[in-house]
Amino acid sequence: MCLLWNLPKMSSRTWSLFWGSRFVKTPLQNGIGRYVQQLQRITLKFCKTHGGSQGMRDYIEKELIHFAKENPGVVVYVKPRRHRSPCLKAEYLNGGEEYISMHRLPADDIVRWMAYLRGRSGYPTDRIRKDQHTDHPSIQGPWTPWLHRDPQTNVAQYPNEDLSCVEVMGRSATEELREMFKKQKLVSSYKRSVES
Amino acid sequence: MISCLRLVRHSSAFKTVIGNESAMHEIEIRLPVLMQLNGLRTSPFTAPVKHAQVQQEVMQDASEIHNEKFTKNVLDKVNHQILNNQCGRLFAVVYFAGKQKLVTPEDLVMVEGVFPPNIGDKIRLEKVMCVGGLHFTLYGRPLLSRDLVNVEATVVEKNLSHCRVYFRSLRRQNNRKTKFSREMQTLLRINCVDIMHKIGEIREVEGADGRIF
Amino acid sequence: MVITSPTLFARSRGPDRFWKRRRILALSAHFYGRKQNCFRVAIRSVHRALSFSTKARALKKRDMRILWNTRINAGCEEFGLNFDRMKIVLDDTGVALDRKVLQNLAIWEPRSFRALAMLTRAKEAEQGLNSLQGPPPGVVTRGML
Repeated sequence: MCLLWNLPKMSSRTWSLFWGSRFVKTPLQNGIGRYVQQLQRITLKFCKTHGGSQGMRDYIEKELIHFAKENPGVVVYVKPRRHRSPCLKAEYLNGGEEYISMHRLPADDIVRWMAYLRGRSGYPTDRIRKDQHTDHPSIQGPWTPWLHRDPQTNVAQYPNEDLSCVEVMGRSATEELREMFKKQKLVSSYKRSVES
Repeated sequence: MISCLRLVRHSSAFKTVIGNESAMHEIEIRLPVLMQLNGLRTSPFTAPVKHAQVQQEVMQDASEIHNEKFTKNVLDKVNHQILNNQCGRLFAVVYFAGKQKLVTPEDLVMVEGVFPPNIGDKIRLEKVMCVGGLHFTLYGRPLLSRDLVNVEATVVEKNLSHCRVYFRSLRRQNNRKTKFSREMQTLLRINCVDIMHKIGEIREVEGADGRIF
Repeated sequence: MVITSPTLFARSRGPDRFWKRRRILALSAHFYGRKQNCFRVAIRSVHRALSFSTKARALKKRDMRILWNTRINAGCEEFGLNFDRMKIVLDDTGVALDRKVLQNLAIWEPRSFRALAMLTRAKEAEQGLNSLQGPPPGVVTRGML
């Protein structure tokens, strides 16, 4: 709490307006029944002459054929453009897009970025609040204050003296005092008898 | 000198044992009785007495019998549900990627960190700690048998998390450190949670499910 | 980041002072007062905010653990137990469910949690601890716990 006092004034709403957050989700109940690949199209843009596209050119020569073979459901476009830096653009089934600059990156890195784009679902990357989502949070029914009670109370007739009296958890202070008083009395009477 | 010492010791011990007056008195009282008994002792050559054979039986505790009946009744009810597919929706506590998750079919579960399976892969979560439904719950100690519960999942998404900024600074000391990290996040869809066989019986072969010999 | 001048953005590349400041001001865009737009004030509060968020990632884990403990204790109290006692029995019997799952069970699958509570009481009675009322009815251990 002391930390919160010192924080600059902001509400979580403004924060999430800028940075966003969401719960885990996947488009169209994916994975129930069967899995559907979410990446639909991927475009590799590069320049045939510039040094910044060297890695991309290597990738297209050596690795791209493997990617296309492994992912028959993905349309791969290769788009040369003069004197512009290379990039990847991915389009997903849910309409999401992602664009990553590949300027001066070696072919190994491009392999990894392609794998990354392939695995995504197309939702924007936000902070994820919980690592789990369920549509069926409870099977036995959530806890209620009456759940573990004795069912006898359901058929009890009210007003009921036993059920409406105060529940005594332990010995009260009054009882303790009374007992002390009784002991004191005993001791004093004993002393008196000894003296007499 | 030594023998003298011994003598002294002996005498003192004698005093402590025999010098006890009350004990001496007791022996004096008992002596005549013992003498009498000695006279009555039977000769060692008497024919052996034939005892009637006693049927020994183990008495079972009534509460034990009741408990056994109770247990059998419960197990029968659970097994009846399992065999007739009447368990309904089941939940399971599975242990994977270093964490425990309470899952039920059609759940989405995210694993953060390195996780080798790729998108579209079907995997079976084998470390099941607990499985239960509306009517019963089975707890493992700590794990349930591999054959008993089948929890399957599909890898739906492999993604990188949002960029986390790790920032540390010491004020007025020109000390500042910034790191950026994006962790691997794998999203799993739980496909099924099933109990595969009856409980409360010892299986002939255990733990062989899913292995290729 | 609000880009006020796209032409400027297109023309100027590289580590320029303007863009360097823009990066900080992007993080302070939702702050109040001069912290929002004056760089000298903004950078201080951005650094503070970033270091808080770094520390809070560890704090969150600790807070969640405290919350789970509270929830489980509340669940146990109904059965006249507390979590310390339950934890000892669970460790003894080899049920290795963690706090997160236990609190989940206590709230969402209460009958399963009740079973664990009854197990605790039965085991304690077997050990002769806290068992003036004797073991709870309906728990058969067969001496196998």
